[in-house]
Amino acid sequence: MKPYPPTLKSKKRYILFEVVSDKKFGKEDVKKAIWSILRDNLGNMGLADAEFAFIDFDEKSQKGILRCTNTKLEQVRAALALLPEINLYKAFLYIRTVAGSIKKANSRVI
Amino acid sequence: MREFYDALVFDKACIEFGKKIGYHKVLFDEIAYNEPKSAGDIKIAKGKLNFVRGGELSLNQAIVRKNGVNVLLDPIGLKSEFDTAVGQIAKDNGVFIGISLRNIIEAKQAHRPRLLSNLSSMVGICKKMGNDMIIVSGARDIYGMRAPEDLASIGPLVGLTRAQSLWAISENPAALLGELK
Repeated sequence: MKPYPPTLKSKKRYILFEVVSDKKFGKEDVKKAIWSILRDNLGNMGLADAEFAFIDFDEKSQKGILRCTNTKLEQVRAALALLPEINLYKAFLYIRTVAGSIKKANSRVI
Repeated sequence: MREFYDALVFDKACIEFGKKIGYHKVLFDEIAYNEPKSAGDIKIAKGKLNFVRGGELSLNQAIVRKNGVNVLLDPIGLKSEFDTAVGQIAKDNGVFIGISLRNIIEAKQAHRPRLLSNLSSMVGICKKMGNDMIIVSGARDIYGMRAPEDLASIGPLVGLTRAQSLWAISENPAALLGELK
């Protein structure tokens, strides 16, 4: 099969976020909360359009990375802003930076 | 570089925290918040920016007519209580129209679509009448706050363009603060 040329591939954006709360959360709790709020606000079709993926979450630093397409970035951001709590504890996602690659996202924060 | 403002918070801890997450200024000491049930309950504090939460259509009209009101906050809820008359009076009296993020976050899941739809129609009227709009977090504690870019991302949900929503958290609050001086 001939692969898609780069011009036909969707452009990805990597969102580096930090959980702000007085409690530390596990990866599964954060993942569940993010998927839940996004599914509530964008729906399954919206998430499919956004090609959303939960890439990673570091429990020690409470930082993680999400991925979506550049066209749906604003909608994903707005939906993430509506997250009021994680696992019944008050918390919010502070988006540190958005970049075109994971490497660049990490380098911008550090 | 653009300076961002969060024009309404209810906790002093938000001032310091706001600076950490990228705000130029978080308004707490400068504001007087009022949640009237009827037109007679509207209180105006001198020397402060008066934010008055809206409600029914008659109450919204009374608020924008009242001398000294700076911001009509959340004039709509599950019912659309904002019309061109309110928009025109607000414009004539220099009253800003405010949208608070807390109002959207605290809406029940089943009510949120209707709230966003009503907000969209309100924003449409505001654009038509040329009202100045601001977006605020209305945070009760630091967990109710959001970074400026995230707060601005609420604008496109309710019909503002990206540039207009950035304006609503930077230039318009700065102009509002200028009224105080």
